[in-house]
Amino acid sequence: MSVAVQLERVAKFYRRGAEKVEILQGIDLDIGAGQFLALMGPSGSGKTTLLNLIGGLDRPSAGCVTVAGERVNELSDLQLTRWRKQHVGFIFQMYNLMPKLTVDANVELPLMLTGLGRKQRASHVAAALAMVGLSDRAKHRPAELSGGQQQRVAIARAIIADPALLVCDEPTGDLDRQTGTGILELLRTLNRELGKTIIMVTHDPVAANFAARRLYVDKGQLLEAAA
Amino acid sequence: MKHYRLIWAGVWSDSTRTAYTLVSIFAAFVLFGMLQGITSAFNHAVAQTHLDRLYVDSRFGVAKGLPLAALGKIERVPGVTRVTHSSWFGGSYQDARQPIFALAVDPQSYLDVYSELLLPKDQVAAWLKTRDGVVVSRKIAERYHWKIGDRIPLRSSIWSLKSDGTSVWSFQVVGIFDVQKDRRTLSELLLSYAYFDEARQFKNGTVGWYIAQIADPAGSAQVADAIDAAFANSSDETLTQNEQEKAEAMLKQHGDIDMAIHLIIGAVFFTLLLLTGNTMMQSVRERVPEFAVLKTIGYSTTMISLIVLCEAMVICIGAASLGLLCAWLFYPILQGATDAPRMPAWVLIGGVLIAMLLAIATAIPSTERLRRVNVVDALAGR
Ligand SMILES: Nc1ncnc2c1ncn2[C@@H]1O[C@H](COP(=O)(O)OP(=O)(O)OP(=O)(O)O)[C@@H](O)[C@H]1O
Ligand SMILES: [Mg+2]
Repeated sequence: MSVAVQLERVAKFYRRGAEKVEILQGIDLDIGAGQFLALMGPSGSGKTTLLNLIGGLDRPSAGCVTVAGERVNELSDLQLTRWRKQHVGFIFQMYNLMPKLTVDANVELPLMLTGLGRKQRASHVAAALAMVGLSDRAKHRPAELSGGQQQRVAIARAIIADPALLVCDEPTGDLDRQTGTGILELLRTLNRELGKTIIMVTHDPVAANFAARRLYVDKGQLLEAAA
Repeated sequence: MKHYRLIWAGVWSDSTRTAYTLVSIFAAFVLFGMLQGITSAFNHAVAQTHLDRLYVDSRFGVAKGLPLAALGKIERVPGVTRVTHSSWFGGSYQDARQPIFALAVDPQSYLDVYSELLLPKDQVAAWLKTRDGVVVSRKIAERYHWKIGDRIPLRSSIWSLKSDGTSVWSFQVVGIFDVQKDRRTLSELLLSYAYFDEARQFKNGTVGWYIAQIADPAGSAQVADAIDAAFANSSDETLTQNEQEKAEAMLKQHGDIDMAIHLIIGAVFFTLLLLTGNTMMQSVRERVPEFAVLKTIGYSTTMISLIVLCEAMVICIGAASLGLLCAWLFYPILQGATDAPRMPAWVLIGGVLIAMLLAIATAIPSTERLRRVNVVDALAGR
């Protein structure tokens, strides 16, 4: 199995005045392509920080982050933005859809940055909505959907440009058990059938069980959970 | 512009606020269109003047007048090709509140100089023959339903009749003149000087002012100086100006309308700039989390800034166009005051350009804010 994500001696700290706040220290991590990985840990432990480093939203204070063969930490802001567009899909706890855009327009957003024509974009959007089971909601606004449906729209938006890597920050954190399970099953399908590498932050052990591999972040360190 | 959905959504992200902004921009541009229309009509009138005409006034004012005998002296000044004269009649029809711009002129020489006045040959002949004949503009003839052959009473605020001492004159309409296309005249009624001078009670043998046509407009300053020099140290010293100077001097009396209008427009746009700039800024600030999501999924700062700029363009140009259209439609109401056929196109074009500048100026501070968006912090709600 090839390596999709590689972290070498990655550290992240913030300066608050003269004080240096260490969030992550000396993190080494290899994630194989096609893995489904859960990141767990107490609140404030740095899970989101780590996820942002892998997703190319943030740069480490030290160390190397390599994703899909690219040294992410060496890219400029603009290069990082372009890189994210091609390689990473993001799914957030609060869905983060554009409230004024319809469902299909939301899903289409990443495709607007490609050279695809209107017809092609429309057929991609239709396929993605079919995959998440929301074909009949294309013309709705996010506010007209339930939380679980909104998260499905977010998933459709994350996969529409066909990135190899999906990073999910507590994707079921705002959903009830049953709805959350539906989302997790969808993620598992994406992982198994489309081969997406998925890194998911979660507080919920049940959710973490959907992942093949579980890691704990605590006091700036990374611990592998027993399989 | 394939991002139109994002732009449109941005425009209406807060529809109440957008509505207020649209209304204020709309109102400002209605005002701009109307006021600018008026000034440009005035300026147009000034620009349309004949630079080949010199006005010879008495240095002591039009009321003093100049002797008829001055005519030959002006004619002999090198560079002068033709001379005619006119005198202010100060007339009103029926009611002092219906003033008529009436001048007493020498028909033949006046029509020669004022070639923009179009009068059929037979009417010219009739005017030359009829001592108390007058020619009137088409506009005034239509306003008062005057026809050729009508006899009309005009009250003069200045001149009384030798015959009975009253100031009600009676004239016969012998012609109706048109004005050459794209030219204008203030004159509404022209009467024959010979009759006027013979019938009036005082100041006989004088005229209000002379109009000298010159061969070369470029040399108008020298010819004007030469005319004034010819009358220097006489009892009838002159002040000679070209038509543009005279028109400008007349407009000055309107209380520097131009200046006032520009100040008003400037103040309105300045307020508008602050208002829309602030609204835009507020709108962008509120949507920082949305922009952070766009950045996350690969929209560059430049792209997002362009989208925000387009939002500003849609709002500013949309509202401004409606405002200008409205001004254009209602402008004819002001026509009576400005005598311009329709709003000049450049006012509309200039208005749209100003709206574009307004959009750019209001979007710039917002794009600066966008540049500082930290995606990680914005996503975490910090
Ligand atoms: N810009 C920043 N400046 C200072 N401290 C920061 C900044 N960003 C994050 N932190 C700190 O880093 C720590 C880790 O934050 P992070 O969001 O990664 O935690 P988390 O594990 O995702 O927590 P949660 O489970 O609550 O989401 C927190 O203590 C937070 O206060
Ligand atoms: Mg977190």
